[in-house]
Order: sequence, then C-alpha cells, then structure tokens
Amino acid sequence: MQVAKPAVYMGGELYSCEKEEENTELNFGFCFPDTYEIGMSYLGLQIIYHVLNGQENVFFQRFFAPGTDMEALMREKGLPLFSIEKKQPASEMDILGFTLQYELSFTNILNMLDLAGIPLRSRDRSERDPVIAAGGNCSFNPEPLADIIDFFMIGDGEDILREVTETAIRHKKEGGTKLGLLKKLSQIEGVYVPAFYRPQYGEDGLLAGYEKLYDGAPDRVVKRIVSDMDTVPYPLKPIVPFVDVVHDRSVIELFRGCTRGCRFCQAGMICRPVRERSRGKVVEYAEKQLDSTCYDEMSLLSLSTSDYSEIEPLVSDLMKSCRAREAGLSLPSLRLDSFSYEILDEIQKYRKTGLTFAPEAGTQRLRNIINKSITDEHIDNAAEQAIRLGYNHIKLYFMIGLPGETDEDLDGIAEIAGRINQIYRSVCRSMPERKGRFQVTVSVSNFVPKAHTPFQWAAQDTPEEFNRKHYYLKDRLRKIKGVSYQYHGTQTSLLEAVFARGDRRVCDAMVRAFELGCKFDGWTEHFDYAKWMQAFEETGISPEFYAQRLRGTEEFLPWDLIDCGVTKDYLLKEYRRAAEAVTTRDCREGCTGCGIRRLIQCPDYSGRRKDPQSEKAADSGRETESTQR
Amino acid sequence: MGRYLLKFTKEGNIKYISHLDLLRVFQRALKRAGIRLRYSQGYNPHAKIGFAHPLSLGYESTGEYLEFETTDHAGADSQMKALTGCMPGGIRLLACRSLPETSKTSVAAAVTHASYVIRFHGDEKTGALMEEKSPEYIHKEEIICRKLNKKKQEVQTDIRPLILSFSAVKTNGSGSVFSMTLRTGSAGNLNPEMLIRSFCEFCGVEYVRHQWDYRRTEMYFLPERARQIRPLEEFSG
Repeated sequence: MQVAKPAVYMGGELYSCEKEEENTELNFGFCFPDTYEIGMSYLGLQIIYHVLNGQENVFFQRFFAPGTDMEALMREKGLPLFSIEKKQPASEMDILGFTLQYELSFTNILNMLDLAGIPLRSRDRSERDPVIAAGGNCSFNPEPLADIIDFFMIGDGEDILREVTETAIRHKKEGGTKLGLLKKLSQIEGVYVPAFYRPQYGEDGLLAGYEKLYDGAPDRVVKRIVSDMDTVPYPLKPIVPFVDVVHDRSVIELFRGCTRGCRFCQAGMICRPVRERSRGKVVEYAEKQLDSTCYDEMSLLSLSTSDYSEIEPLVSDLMKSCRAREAGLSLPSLRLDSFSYEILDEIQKYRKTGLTFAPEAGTQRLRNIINKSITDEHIDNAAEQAIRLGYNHIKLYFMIGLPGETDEDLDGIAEIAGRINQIYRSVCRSMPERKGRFQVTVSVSNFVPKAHTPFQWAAQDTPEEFNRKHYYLKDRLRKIKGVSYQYHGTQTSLLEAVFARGDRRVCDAMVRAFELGCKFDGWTEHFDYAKWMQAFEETGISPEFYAQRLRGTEEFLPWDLIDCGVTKDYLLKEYRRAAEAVTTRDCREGCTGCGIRRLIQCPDYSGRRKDPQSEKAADSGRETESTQR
Repeated sequence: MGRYLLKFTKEGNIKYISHLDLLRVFQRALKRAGIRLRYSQGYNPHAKIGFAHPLSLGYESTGEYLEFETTDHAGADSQMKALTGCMPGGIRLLACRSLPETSKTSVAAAVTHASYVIRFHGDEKTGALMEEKSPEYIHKEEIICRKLNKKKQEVQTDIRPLILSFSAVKTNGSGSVFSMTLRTGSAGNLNPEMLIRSFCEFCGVEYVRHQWDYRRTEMYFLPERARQIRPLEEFSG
C-alpha cells in the first residue's frame, strides 16, 4: 500500500451520511485538525454531524488532517484536501469550520487550508473561497487565530450552528458579499468576527483594548449555553468507524459543567453552569446507542462523572442495560473523594487492571492554592480500598509549575507515592490472599496557565525550570521501589502557553512556523522546537512575553472581549484567594458568585443551603461571601 | 449451540480495511443481526469467531471464509438471511453451512491452498512480455527468492514447491491477468506478492505495487484420504 491505514480516507462507515445534491442548499465542511483516529473519537463531531445533517438542506461533511505519507502523495499528485463523504474538495464548501480542541493543533489548521488551496489569512481570501469558521474550547481565546478565521462560535454548538447555517442559507439565496454575511452573523449571540475589532497596543507593548470597526458588532461576545440537556439533540446512531479509532465505543454525555472550581482548570470555568441530562434520558440514549452501533463497550462522559447527582442508581441501571447487550461499562474521570467503591467493583468484576487518581499537587498547601479539595486522608483511603479490591496498578496525575509551588511540594508527590506503597504492604499483611506485583505510576504534566481561569495572570515556569523539577522528582522517585515516572515534554508546554494566552500578534509566528514545515506539533515524532524558535525569532515574537510574564491584574487581556459567563472580578478574587492558600467551596454547597447567573439560572442542587439573600446577591452579579472548607 | 462456515466477498473500497477491522465489522454485524456468539470460558473471554486465512490489506476477494460459533442453533440459511442486511457495501454473503459442533480441526487449520487472479495494468508492452515469459518462469526447477527471516537476516528460499499452478490468462484487453494456486496455511504458505516480485525480476520488469490488482478467488482444503484439494465451501469439520 502507498499509505498506512488507507481505510481512514475511505468513508462509507455505518451511519455516515450521503445526501442528494439537489436538496443541498449549504455545504458545510467540518474540519478536525488532526488525524481521523483522533477526530472520530471526539463526541462533539458526532453531535454536530447529527445536528447539521438533521437539517434537510445542509450537507455536513468531514475533513481530517491526512497522515504525512498521504499528504506527501496528495501534494505530489496535486490532489486537494477532500471530504470523507463525497471526496469533494474543501474549497467547494460554503463554510469550512474547524474545531479547536488543543493549541498544538493550530498549525494543522494552516496545513489543511494550504492543502485545500485556500489562502491562510482572511484578508488574502476572495469571495470564491469558503467562509472559514471555528468553535470549541480554544475559541475562548480566539486571538492567535484571528487573522485566519472569519468568524468564531463561542460556547455550546448545537443552537448556534443551526442559527449560523440558517442565516448563511438566507444570505446565499439573497446574494451578497462575504462581508455582508459576516455582519449578519455578528448579530447572532456567541458569534465573534475578529475583523470587526482592531487591537490597540500601548507604548509598553501591552494590549490596551480593541477599537470596534463595525458599529453593529457587539461590545463583548457572550458565550452560548444550551439550557436543557434533555431536549438538545443527541446522536443515537453515531458513525461507527471501520478502523480502530482512539475511543472505539459508545459514549453518553452525562452533563456539562463542573462545580468544583479548580483554579487551573479552563473547562471548569468556561463550561458553567452544570446542566445534567436526566437519568431516564441517559439510560434511554445508552440503550438506543448500543442497539444501533452494537459496540461492546459503553463509556460515560463529563468533566467529573462521579459528581452526577444520581450516579449510583444510574450506574446500576446502566449495568443492567449493558449486561443485556453483552457490553462493558467504563467510567472515566472519577474523583477519589466521592465514589462508592462497591460500584467500581461491580463494574470491573473482571479485568482489574488499573485505577487512576488525580491529586494534582503534592501537599495540602498547594492543593488549597489550586482549590483541589482532596486531602491526604482521601488519597490514602482511596488507595487502600482500591488495593483491597484487588487493583495492582495505581496511576497518579500531578501538575508541576503551579503558582506558589516549592520543592517541598515535589517532595510531597514522592511521599504520596511512597505512602501508597506502604499501604499496599500493610494490606498484604492483613490479607494473605492479596499478592502479586504492585505498581504505582506517577504521571506529571506541566502547568499551562489558561485564559478565563483564576491563574490567567500567572507566569509559567521556563523550560529549564520544568526540566530541573522533572529531574528533582525523578531522583526522589527512584528511591521508591515499584514506582514509575512519566512526564511531558517541556518545549511543547511552552508553545501551548504562548497560544493559550496569545494576542493577535502571535499569529505571524504560527504562520512562519508552518512555512518552515511545522505541523502535528502535539506528536512527539513531528514536533520541531528549533523551527518554532526560528519562527519566533524571525517574526520578532517573544514566547517568554506570553508564557513567562506575570501579568498585572489591571492589564487588558486579549480575551476580555469574550464573556465566558464567569466575571473577571470573580477570577481576580479567586486569584487572590489562591495567593493566600484559601479554598473556595464547591458551589453546590452554596453559590460562590461567579457571575454565570447573569446568563442562566443554575440548577437547584439538592441539599444545598437555601439562603434567599445570598441568591439574590449572586443573581445581581455582586460578590457573595464564600466559606472556607 | 451452532457452528457455521460463511463464504463471503470483499470487493471495492472495503478492501482497504484490515483483517482486524473486518473481524470487528463481522462481530458488530452478527450482534445487529441478533446472532449471539459463544464465548470462551476463561479469564478474558473472547468470542468464538475467526477467518480461514487473513487477506492482505488492499486485496479483493470472492472467496473468503469465516467460522463462528453461536449460543443458539438456527439453520445456516436463516443465519445468513439475518446477517445479509447488516453487512457494509462490498461484502456479499455467498453461502453458509452448518458444521458439526465438535470437531478435530478448525477451518483455519484445514486450509492448504488459495487461488488468486492478479491483474497488471501498467503499459501493454510490458504486460505482453510478462505473458510471454510466464511458461518459462513456471517451468524452472527451482525459483529462488530472497526473504528476511525472523531475525531480520536475508535468507534464500525456493518457492517453486509452494506453487501448484501459475499461468497467464487470455483476456480481451484491459491489462494482463495471471492466475495461480499457491500453498496457504500453517504447513506451507506463499504470499502472492512474493511470487509476483520474483516473476517481475525474472522478466526484468520493475515491480510497482499500485500497477497490480490482487484478488483471491477461492481457498481449498484436502479432505481426509483424498488426493485432490477441494474448495473450502465443501469443508464439513
């Protein structure tokens, strides 16, 4: 074969959609800026595919980044980027929409446009070229891609995509320019058209604000929120790939949002408030999806699955549904402070391979700073229960380079790993039948400050400092038997930080890096740090300015144009509480006044303290007192 | 309980999905058809299902076989009928027969030969030259090929004993077609691509993979006390 895995370009999968051309009024190309195997594992793709192809007059086709072998062949033969469904060139789409899941995929966007024969920058494109759109979590700081993307969709996609396609169809029928369409689209809540805002920079090189170039555009773009998870469309017949993709299973989304308020977590801030799908709907969807796909595994998705209000009855319902269909149930993202181990035992009756916990930081002090409400006692108890249940492998996730971190916090990571080993030995003494090899894996990632989080002002460690910490920790962990250590590359973390909080100027460096050959930056075998440094140098962009500079709290931030629901005042308050190592409660225990209630009513958490006065105060967006846990 | 042998095709774009992908396609299709597979009784239970012999990625076939065991005992015809609507395009079900539940040999162990029809669609002159050279090639006493052994060392091996037949087929235009029957299975196996490479070398022609279309047409077994191989379709356990 000339290319590896040719089936990923083939299409024709079960439940993929092929439409008659005569009914199509709008061709929408969905671009996933990574390979098919990764893109097809993304639930968002399946949801949007279902929503847009559900509209009779829209044909929604998929495009993925081809593998490097396929790309070389395509360039050699002059074959443009083509859709999976009809092998149609991307340049023939009316709208080409990219999903922004991680910063390291940005060069793939440029590469896909280039392969499609479409000029990279908006200003270089003609009326004949497709309108280029983007959505997904990274669009909450859209600025690094503002020269490339014609319009962004901020927040939940289901409603806004329908409104955008309806507007585009009307515009196409009436006939009009691209600029005219963008003006109309900018009237839709959640749409950001970067060409309507010109950044202003002060003499100090800092962003001072934006000058609005089209009066009709909103002053701030407010994110979209789907309010009712029971009525929003959900794919009951998702596309079933032929090839073994990353997550080859049935997936049901339990809820969006998270109430925990971890201060490093962008998803926890921008996806508020929590909106649950009812238990009945979850079970109904799970059964219908298993019946239609015949997958032998089902998994539940949300930011913190075990926080689902009826998790225990739900899991036993789902166990019955799965068992009747000879499918297994798997639960990702478990929190060790809230889960019933009997249920875990029930689910994983057979293969007890490994269990993963995420304490994130090594000491209580640092966990307080990041507002991760887990204690040493929680960790120890969870580990002991897991060991008693027969687990032979415990994986621990930590982050290093967190604000306020010292070497004592790194020692704390080693202490946790060592303590779990001791727990294993003492369990073995009391349970003679408990034997076999036992392994603790410590997996460490590098902290990347993200937009719209309380740490959005924080400085990132330099790659040298990250490396020093990795070696320090490696040395500590070497002394403990049965502990293995995994860590992430520090150079990609620097790049991620530049684009996570970059302004419009960093785009030049990205385009230059692409011209030098950078793509698939998230893939170790393709990432080329030297080329990136050359690109920064040639374009006069300082990665340190974006990644390692401590920002002033008065500073105007590139993403201040975007209203993510949580107010900047609240983030600042949380930032200050972090500096004092003071925690903020889970907002199910009482509103903490993040500001999301300006946009939508929060759910009524059962058992929540009812205090009409504080609710009223929170509704008006003012600060409310939050208690320390 | 039931045990079945299913004959099917793999044609068109579906030739690009791998052996393991195809197995998954069948497992899901069987489930969708309401046919429940029997599982092994072990620590890691796995479904009792398997192909007679893997088909290389990119090959088409009109003679593939799948063996599977079920918990119920429906007739072979009704199993095939239930399954027919559940298959993706390019896979046609040709026949299904019941096998005895207890058997000494699996289908995979019984396979001894496979036949292929391989089409060359490079330039016509080269095709004609190869057609002309084919009798001379197959009448050689030995055909020595170089191949890598498990230790990645180059070794020489004689493939002639693994070739039952090899000849050019008369066609009306559209490329040169070669037909062959080769030893297949655990007791002796020849990959047709290895033969074609060696044949190209013999003819002094450069082997370019995408100028060749490979199609398996049938697989065979040797019935007990028989002297002639028979199509696997007749296998009865």
